[in-house]
Amino acid sequence: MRSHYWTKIENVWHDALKLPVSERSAFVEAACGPDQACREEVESLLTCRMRAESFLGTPALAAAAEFCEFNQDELAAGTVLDKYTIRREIGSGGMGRVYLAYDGSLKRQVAIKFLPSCLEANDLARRRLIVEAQLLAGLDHPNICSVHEINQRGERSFIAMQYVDGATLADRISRDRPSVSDALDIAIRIAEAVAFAHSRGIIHRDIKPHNVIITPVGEVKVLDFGVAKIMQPGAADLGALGASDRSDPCQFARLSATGAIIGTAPYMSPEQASGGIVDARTDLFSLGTLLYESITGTPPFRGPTEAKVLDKVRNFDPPPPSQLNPEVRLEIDALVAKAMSKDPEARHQSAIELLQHLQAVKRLMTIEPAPPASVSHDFWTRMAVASAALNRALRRPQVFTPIIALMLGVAAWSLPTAISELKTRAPLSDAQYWYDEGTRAFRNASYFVAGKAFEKAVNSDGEFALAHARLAQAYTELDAFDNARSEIDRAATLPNSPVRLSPLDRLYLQGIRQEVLGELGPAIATYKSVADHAAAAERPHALVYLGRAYEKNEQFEEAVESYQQAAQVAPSDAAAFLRLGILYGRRRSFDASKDAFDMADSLYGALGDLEGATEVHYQRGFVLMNQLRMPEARAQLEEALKVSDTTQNQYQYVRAMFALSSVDASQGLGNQAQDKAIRAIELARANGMENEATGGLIWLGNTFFRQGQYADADRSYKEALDLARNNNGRLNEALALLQLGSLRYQQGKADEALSYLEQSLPFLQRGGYRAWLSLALTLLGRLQSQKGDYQIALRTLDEQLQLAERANDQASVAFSHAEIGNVLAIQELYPEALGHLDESYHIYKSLNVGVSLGYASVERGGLLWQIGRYEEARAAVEEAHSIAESLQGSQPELAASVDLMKARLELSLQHFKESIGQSREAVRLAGSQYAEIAVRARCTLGLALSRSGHAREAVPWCQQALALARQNGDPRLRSGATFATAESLLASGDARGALSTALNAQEIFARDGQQDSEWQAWLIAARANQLLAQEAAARDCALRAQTQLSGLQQRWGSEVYEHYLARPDVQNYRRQLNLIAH
Amino acid sequence: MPTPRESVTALLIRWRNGDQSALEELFPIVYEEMHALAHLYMRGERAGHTLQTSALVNEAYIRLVDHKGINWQNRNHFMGVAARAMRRVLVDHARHFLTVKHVEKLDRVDLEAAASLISSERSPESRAVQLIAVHEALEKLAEIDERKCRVVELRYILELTAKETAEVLDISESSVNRDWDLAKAWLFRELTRRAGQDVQASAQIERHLKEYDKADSQ
Repeated sequence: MRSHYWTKIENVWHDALKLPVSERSAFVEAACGPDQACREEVESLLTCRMRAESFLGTPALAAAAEFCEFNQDELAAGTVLDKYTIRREIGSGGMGRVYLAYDGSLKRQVAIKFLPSCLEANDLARRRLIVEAQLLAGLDHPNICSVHEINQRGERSFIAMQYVDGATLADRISRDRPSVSDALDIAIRIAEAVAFAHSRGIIHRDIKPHNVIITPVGEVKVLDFGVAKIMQPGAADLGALGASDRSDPCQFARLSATGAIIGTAPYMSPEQASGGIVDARTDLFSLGTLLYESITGTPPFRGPTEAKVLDKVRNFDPPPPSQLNPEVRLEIDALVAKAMSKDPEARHQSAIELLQHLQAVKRLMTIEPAPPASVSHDFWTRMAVASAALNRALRRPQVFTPIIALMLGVAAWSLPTAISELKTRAPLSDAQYWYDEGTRAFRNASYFVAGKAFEKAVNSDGEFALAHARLAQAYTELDAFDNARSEIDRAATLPNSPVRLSPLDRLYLQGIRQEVLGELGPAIATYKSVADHAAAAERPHALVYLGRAYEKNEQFEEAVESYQQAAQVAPSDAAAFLRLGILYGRRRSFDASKDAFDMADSLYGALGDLEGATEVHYQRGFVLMNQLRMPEARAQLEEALKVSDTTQNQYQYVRAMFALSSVDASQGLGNQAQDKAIRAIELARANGMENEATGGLIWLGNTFFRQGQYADADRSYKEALDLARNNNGRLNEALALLQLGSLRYQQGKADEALSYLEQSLPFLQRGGYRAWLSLALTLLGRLQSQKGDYQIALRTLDEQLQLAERANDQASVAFSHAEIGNVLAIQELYPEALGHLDESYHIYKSLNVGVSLGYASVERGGLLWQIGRYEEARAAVEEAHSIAESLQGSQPELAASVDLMKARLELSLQHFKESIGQSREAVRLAGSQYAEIAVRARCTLGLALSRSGHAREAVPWCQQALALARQNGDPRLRSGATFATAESLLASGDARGALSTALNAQEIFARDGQQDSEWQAWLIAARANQLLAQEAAARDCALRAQTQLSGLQQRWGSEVYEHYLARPDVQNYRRQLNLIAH
Repeated sequence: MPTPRESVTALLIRWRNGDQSALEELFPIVYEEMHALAHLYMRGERAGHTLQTSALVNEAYIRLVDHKGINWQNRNHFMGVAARAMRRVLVDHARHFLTVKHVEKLDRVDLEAAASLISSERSPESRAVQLIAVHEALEKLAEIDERKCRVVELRYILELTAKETAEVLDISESSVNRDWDLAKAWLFRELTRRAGQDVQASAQIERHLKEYDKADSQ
């Protein structure tokens, strides 16, 4: 809070400052009146103001830089660093002191650079250096001074690099300026180096004559890629570096993202000078200034202070070089003007383009040595001459007016093609038209439409390689892998096609090929490079392709970033917003998703692009379905249906119809859902959309499946399988197999299920379809565990866990833990199982996934009471109960599980009345649909009845359970029911029946390693023998029970075992055991 | 799991809505970023390159904060945190430097060092001493007039222009200029006072000696 006093002082001060210095003192005295302190305060501040003029003039950070490198050690000649011996200091370079040293092992001279110690103040900085050095060590080019290694001396790092003897270009310019022709040659060499570095993702950022060395034999070496940073504007967060892996390429980019504002004032690009985002084109600007200086002897931007220089870089157009050196041709003026455009978009768009321009000018000079003013009919030259004349006419010879610069720029743009002697042609105009249509549709995710357009493009011009590649890309989306492959092969056989292929097109070609062949990592790298090198207009498109590749590789964060960049570069790029909407929706950022869709919608609307608008409706519908906002989803999808009907876009129509069918299904309108699906399938088939038809059949099968119409489901899946096989739709084939496997699993036909699933697995694994693969692995794991192959099941589930962890898909990680926990629980390895279920529970809790959290809680509860931790078990079951309640009856199976678990818990506590009530409820809720619960609830009910003295009632329940278990085929259900039957028979007095049944159960328990159940089975057998007066046999069985029981101590550990022994039911059993054993 | 970018954005929004604990979470993230930036800057500075802190900080903002629907209020809040974090980074750095240099206690700084508080000398030691002294004086200034302290942070530490500072603080540019002017004078006086009575005493002695000289010569 400001005090009144301070406010008063401030006011007096300000008013005083409005007066001339001589009148201030009197004014202050009058204004403060009798307040002596006020007067003194203001007076002293005014005095200080005079002296403080330059105070704080050096910005804090610059001041701090003064004490950065205070303890840099100087190395005397002869100092040995690892294998290097220092000869002498040769200067202070971009990153610190530089020494000439001798590498004794390789017998060569090297340059050694020490890095300022403050750079290594923390781990982060150190890692940054290492990464950078690794990067630079890979930069092997004749025109680049190469880095050998990064090494350490004590706490300090140094870089050993190639020692290049020679003079810098700066020296050369000041002493003995190169001829224009030599300067062009040097610039060409530098441009080659820069183009090479750019292709590796490295921007130099500090191209200047001091960083170029010309050796005595005339080699050109670019030095000091030390400040180079990976091109990756805006893709970073240093805060997150801590835990990531050094080899991770994404981190690589992140590491280097900082530091875009490095450079040397007179050679900086305007975007560097104003601290904007810098990309590869900054080097082109600097190369322009370097060429300017090389041919004129003076840098284009000069000034008394750095600030003035930077201001000129941003706002001043230097005189054309020809004004300073009459030997310079106007073509070079144009080239330099273009390279040095303030707006990066107006420059050459890649180092390669600049290189080609330089080479073209150079060639022109050799072909036509005459100065440009001489007669030439070349359009470009006429343009240049005309603009020079215009310059003179305007009497502003020292300034490039923007218009002229623009004209020159345009003219120069056409130069390389004009001079190029390649006998290429453009694609035929029809082909080009369809190609453009296709790419548009493709970007809007209308793959079928895109495919049709590309087919037309290649039909009208068979030599159009890029169209073949794009067609392959569309086929891939349409699950036509074989067609895709043959198209991509065709594209590859056309490298010398007469149809013109720019370097960028070649890169695209390569990226698409990698994508089609499933090499997503390389494809991503290629698309990145396309995005970096693409001209402004193409860049957003390239970023969308890059984003798609990321999506396919399930790198959704990176995909989002690509689309964000695309949207940033081209704020009118509807496709980028469409994709963003989809992805935001997938990661449940629904508001962001809506915003992006709104944006896409208005952009498509502005373009009058109805297909785009349809796609937005369609995708919105999907996201709304994700939010369970079904009525709104339906409205969007119906809109999509309507618009696609008017545009006659069958593909979009069919897809919208399928989606509506999903909405029907999720609203419980099963029949409507099936009707829509069937109609959509027919339409798809009639229009040759096999992929859609197959997908539709699988979907239809799913709706049947969900409604328990297994026969219909089976028919649909098989039809889909046939169709997929006929059309070589590999993904759909695998999916049909997967669904058949899952159907058989549900029907309890384990062997058939296993066979289908195993067939589907290889393709899913190879293609990296994580979600599907995960489902297949889950089912396989369960089937294997059902068969008693626990170790195999655990391996399968572990594969699934790793899959989920790699993708950082927390929900799947939790799911896998739960599955693993279940397999361990079956083997009655309760403590280990509990560890996994706890893990699963906590993840679900953090994700706030209701149903799964409910199941995880129930299962945890089940384990907890088994080892006597009743309080926690009760809490867990209560949590599950409240979740089931909150879901308002939509999860009857969960509700039934909760009741079952309560019943078993109460049974264990010998609270028979409660247990009977709960198990009756569980029986009711389970009905016939949830077989496992139906069996277990009956067993629990039977046991509770027989232990509370109602054995006669108990037996039929247990026998029912046994019959149901036999039907179901799960051996574990059967053993549980067998045991319950044995105990109830014993209680009812049927000792003989009890004995044989108990031994039967014991055998299965033993096979499955269920030691807890096994000792109980032995106990029942012992008691039955006792009733039959077979004392010896009884004692034998009791002894076996005793052995198994004490074995649990080792299996679970003493602590868990102690808790277990404290269970009331276990104590009761042990009392019975003791009666027999002694 | 939210990305750091999402969490920084979320924290900024929470902070803006009055949740002070958000600032506590935000500060270390921004501090780490500023630390990295400062080092990067220094590296460039040593090599004779020009960097602009404000541009670096802008980059940090772009990196750390989610950009959908750029919210200028968020940006302004970020700049405020960044300035504070950068101030802390620099002070930590200076303290570390002085420790290594065995200039352990600022109280016991000798006359020469004290004088360097206000000198424009560019020795590393005097830079470090001055930086810490400015930091401490700023604490005092903040007690009297918080806004002026913020203006100094943004202008001196982040190197924002008056216009940018005005935007961040949502005040007029002329207010920024007036604040900056007065704050500089105030801080200068504070540092002069800090420079110790020794300095004043020595000046006084000098004056007396001169007067004696004059008297003698008469």
